[in-house]
Amino acid sequence: MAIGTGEDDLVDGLRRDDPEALAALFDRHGDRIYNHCFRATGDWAEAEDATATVFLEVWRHRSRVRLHEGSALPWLYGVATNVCRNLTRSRRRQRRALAALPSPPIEPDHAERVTERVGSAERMQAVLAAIGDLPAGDREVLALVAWAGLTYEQAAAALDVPVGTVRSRLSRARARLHELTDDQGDPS
Amino acid sequence: MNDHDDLTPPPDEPMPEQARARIRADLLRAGGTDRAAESPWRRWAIPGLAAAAVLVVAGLAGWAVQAGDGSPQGGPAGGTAGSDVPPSDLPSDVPSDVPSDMPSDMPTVIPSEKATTTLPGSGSGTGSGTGTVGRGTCEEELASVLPGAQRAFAFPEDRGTTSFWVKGEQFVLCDVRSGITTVHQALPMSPSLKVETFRVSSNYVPSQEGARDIRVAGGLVPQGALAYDVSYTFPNGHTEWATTATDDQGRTWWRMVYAYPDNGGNETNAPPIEATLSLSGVQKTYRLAWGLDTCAQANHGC
Repeated sequence: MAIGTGEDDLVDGLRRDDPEALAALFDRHGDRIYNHCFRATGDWAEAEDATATVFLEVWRHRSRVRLHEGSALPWLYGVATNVCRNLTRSRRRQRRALAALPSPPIEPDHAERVTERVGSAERMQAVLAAIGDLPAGDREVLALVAWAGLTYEQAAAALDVPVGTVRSRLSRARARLHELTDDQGDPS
Repeated sequence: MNDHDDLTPPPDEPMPEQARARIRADLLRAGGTDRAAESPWRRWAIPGLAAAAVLVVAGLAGWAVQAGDGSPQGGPAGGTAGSDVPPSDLPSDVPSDVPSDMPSDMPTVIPSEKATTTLPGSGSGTGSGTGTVGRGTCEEELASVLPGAQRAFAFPEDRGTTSFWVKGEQFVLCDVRSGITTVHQALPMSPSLKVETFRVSSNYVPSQEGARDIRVAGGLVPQGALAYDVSYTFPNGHTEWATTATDDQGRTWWRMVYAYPDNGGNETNAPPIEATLSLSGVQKTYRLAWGLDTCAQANHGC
């Protein structure tokens, strides 16, 4: 199929059941969704799985894809947020049980690259732990606006909430972050 | 946010090329499978109707010839596809817990056993004695999947046989059921706790009683795992528990088989099959993506 540059074309392709349109959407936005999922899970491998799941969900619900100002990206972020929310829900409990199992073999890779990725995963997990007591809705707005760079309007479209809700959640999240950083900087 | 250095996420990274290629291929495959699976029995109806047309033509020709001979038996009685397939040729070794309210709109032309050998898909089975994929022995069929693998264990026969074959650090499952030999993709002997470990193979088996879907999954229980239970919940609400058995080397294998009526329609619109792993009392559920995770076979199509 011939895919134009506009996302209208991609969405039309999806609605015509064209898997090439799905692949093109993945080519265009896969990395952004991958990093969003990483920031939600703190785990690169889980982010890979989640990204695949996001685009399979897009395919399953291809007739319902929505464009926001000509872009499917906010809707994709919304799907990704839901997928990652389900993914992380019981992960902590599972990890305790799974820790007793032997670790799967590590696939060969460049050592430096592996170290970098482990480092970034640890850092992300620390960030997630620090904001763990924020309400899920506040964390999701923070991830979309502050980390993924969406506008308030795009985040509202992604989460299917009013723009005002995005503003208030982000305000609460930022206030909480200030408290956290103040605590960390307080020697007492 | 960026002014809070301690709580700033690490910078974005591109997805590894290997993962990108794999996901892209999976998406294309899932999309293609989905479209092909929109109405499972159509896969059989089309060749079935074609076969019926051939048989009708042949029957009419035979009738015409015989009528020309003045034979009292002249007529198209033998030309219908339905009577061309004796009931004994139909699969009979699938579980019998199928309700009697099978859909009545199934095609009346039931493909013969020979027709079912031309399973659609990209199977690369090479060793089948009949020259068609999914009809050879396990040894023959796994030659293109994990050549040289040795049989490690087989579950007791239960309307079919499921065996596990090992080579080095990999194993494959081979299931022989309803006349079809299905070899799963090779998996590592150290099973990862990912959805790949719990993928099911799918075979569509037409019969006089109605079409059925047969789903099979299996694998190795990780060493040291306590209270390791696997179950699958299907769109019809049924939950099938895997059974386990231990081989002579002390390895424990699990296997799940479930056959149920195929009521037609687009299965991808149904809720996904869910695999639930219970490990030491903690449960993890994997939702199997239609097509991607429900086509574990490697030697023939779904």
